[in-house]
Amino acid sequence: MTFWGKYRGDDGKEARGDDHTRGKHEHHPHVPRESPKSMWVPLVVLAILATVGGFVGISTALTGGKEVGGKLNIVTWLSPVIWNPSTKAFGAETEVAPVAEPRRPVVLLNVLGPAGSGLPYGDTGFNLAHAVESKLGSETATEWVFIIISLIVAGIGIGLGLLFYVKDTRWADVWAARLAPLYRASFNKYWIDEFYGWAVTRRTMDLARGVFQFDSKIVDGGVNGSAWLTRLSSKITGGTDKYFVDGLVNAIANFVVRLMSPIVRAAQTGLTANYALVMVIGLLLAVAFYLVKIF
Amino acid sequence: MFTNNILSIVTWLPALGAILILGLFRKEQNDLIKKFATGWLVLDFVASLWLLGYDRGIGGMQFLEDHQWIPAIGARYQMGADGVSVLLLVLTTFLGVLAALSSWKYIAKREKEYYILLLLLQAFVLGVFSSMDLFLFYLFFEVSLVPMYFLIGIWGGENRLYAAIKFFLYTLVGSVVMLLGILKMYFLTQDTALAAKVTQATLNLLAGNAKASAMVATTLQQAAQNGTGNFSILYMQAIGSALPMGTLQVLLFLAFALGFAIKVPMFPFHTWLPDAHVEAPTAGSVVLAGVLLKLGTYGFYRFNLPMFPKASADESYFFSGTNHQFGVRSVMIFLAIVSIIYGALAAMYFVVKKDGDVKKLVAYSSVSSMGIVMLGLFALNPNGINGAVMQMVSHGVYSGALFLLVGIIYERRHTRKVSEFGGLSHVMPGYAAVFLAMAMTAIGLPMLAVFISEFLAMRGAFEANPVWAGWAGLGIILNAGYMLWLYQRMFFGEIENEKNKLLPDLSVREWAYMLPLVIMSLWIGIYPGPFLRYIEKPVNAVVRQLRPNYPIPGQPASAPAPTRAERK
Repeated sequence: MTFWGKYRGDDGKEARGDDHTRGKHEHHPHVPRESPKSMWVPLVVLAILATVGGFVGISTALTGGKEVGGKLNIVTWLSPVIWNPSTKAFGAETEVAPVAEPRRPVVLLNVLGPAGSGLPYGDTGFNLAHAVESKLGSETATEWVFIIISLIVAGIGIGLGLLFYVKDTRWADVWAARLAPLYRASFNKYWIDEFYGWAVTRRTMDLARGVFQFDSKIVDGGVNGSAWLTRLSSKITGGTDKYFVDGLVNAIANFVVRLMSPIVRAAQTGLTANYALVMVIGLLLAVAFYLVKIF
Repeated sequence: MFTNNILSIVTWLPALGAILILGLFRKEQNDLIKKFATGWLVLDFVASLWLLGYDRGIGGMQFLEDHQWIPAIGARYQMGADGVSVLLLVLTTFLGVLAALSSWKYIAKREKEYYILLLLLQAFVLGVFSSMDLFLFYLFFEVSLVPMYFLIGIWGGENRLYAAIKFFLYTLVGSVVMLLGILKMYFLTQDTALAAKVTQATLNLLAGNAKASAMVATTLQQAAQNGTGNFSILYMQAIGSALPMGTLQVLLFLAFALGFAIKVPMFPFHTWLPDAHVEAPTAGSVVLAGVLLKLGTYGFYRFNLPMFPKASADESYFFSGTNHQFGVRSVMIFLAIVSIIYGALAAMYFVVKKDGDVKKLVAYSSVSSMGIVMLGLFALNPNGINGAVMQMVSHGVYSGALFLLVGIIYERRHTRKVSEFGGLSHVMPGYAAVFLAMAMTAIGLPMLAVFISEFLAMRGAFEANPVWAGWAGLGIILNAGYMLWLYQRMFFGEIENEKNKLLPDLSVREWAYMLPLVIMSLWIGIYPGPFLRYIEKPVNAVVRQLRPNYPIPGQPASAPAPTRAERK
């Protein structure tokens, strides 16, 4: 490809409108370099494909109504997946006998079929090619219409390119100034990236922050809260057990000890003779009891 | 001998290895211990490959083993595996080897105990997947918590005790509720009125082949002789499906569902997971994400769906108005979808945040992935359930791999903060390549494992209700968002942190445990046919059990499929 336009590389002079005096410079200008392999090889592949790519679908207008190329023809290839409103089936009309039925009014973008029709797509969906064809009444004429439209569009583009970059390179700047707002919008890609960045990316990030806060504070907070509640109730139970239940046991024990200790202490004389006396009394009582039981 | 007891061999081999380590080695023989443990797990993996001989043409439960165990309560030692179990068993032994291999350097204290616990964990998890007796299943299901508790509690990070106790208690709460359900099911097996409703056709469908049917018959006969109930999973599935739809069926469903939902984990029962993952050592995370989470989804597949088919398909139990209705399945689907999106957003927080933790990101992304599994399961059609099972396997591969990768960088830098990295692809190209492959797998790039499973699960969900698939799609976009951000922040750009300038690339040992995972991801992504053939028959049987009239391809349906309008 040849580029006829003004050299836009930053060589330090161009911007100031000086003559081309490259080579005499002391500092190194930005000399255009060949791109690395990783860039140009894919581009070459794409260029080759772009050159021959058109042959996958030669218009029937040029071949006298025949679809050349068989399976390689994109139309034949895609035919089974294209919804044909006139036959209410997938595929080209030639494969299914056309159904004679009056067309309904054109409705834009009727994606799903009417309820209950059982069809994936409606038969009322708008199809530009079919609309034109039904007006013109000829498939060849339809094809020509679209061929001519696309050639005109391409021609306009090429013409504008020649005007701006070959005929008079100042025109680009002049028109950029005249259509300043449009130029700026186009230059900034209509701020679509910025819009997405603000409306989608930033908001999703906010949502992510919110979700995590919710997760750690509310959801996990609930989990930790239930753990806290368990510990609290165990503390209460433990306290109750220690001071009330066990306290009662101890209190009774204390009471009993207080009550009984003088008596019991009195018995703890430490004299063997006393103990022996008690033993003998006990023995006598036991024998007496035994005798009473017998008689 | 070998073929008749293959499931027992695969299950108990790691436990034997643990005992051998206990007896054969002294504490100081660290090098020998880790090599022995890894070699032993390789042996178990090789043994488990025998299971791939599962007869896919017959289907149903195979490799059956049946022995009397506790006659007083009718509990038996019954082992068996269907295609789904086979895949999960092999995944477990496969990840076990990699987990051991990844621990060689990472674990620097009490190595003997570490490898013993790792081997025991393997044994118990394998036991869960091969039990055909609910009592045995529950035993393995519960005891598998113990080694994991110690793995996190001893070799974990700073906050390890909190995480270990949370993990243990949280899962215990769920499984104790499940135990109540199990007890009720046990008493139902003694309900003669209910038993009269169980048809042989249902039993044959659930068992899948004549041998498994015969095993159920033996169990019933023995139980009748002893005058006990029984814990046969197949029989309980039949009993559960004979149970009329009503409060009891729903309560039983919920009792089992709570136990498994915590394990999966589903929103809002997931908060133990990020803590456990962040604190666990790398190998612990690998087994946790790769295998332990599947205990939950496997539970849904094995118990909730076939045992309570009416509750599983119910959409009007809780609320049934003229325009809206709400049932058990609606709850499950709702929680699954919330998990998918919520998990993805919570994961995203760790790239949005300045000093996010990579491991926590991967942990939350697991919540999202497991949500896809649940959505696929409750789509209640072959595509959905196939996708769910494949997602279990793919998630095991990619999340295991991501945790290993995080472990590799943690070993080198002792930090997991995203902000500490950047430009790593310059110094660690091999690491960057493997990480890319796994991040792309996680996103669900075509030709990689997750694509297949997510595609199938979403196709199933779409068939059930396009809106569900739409929500799942949103979650997948969010997944792609944070994974790409993460990759960009860690690997692209210039190296700004001095500490990263001299990082060594993957060592031979690291390649040895990363490469198999990359290969598995590619294999499943490019040619999932062999895997799907293992699960085809069992999954179709579950669908048949859930929806007797569903037109399964290649099988005659007794009635046409309900259309969208009819289902509403």
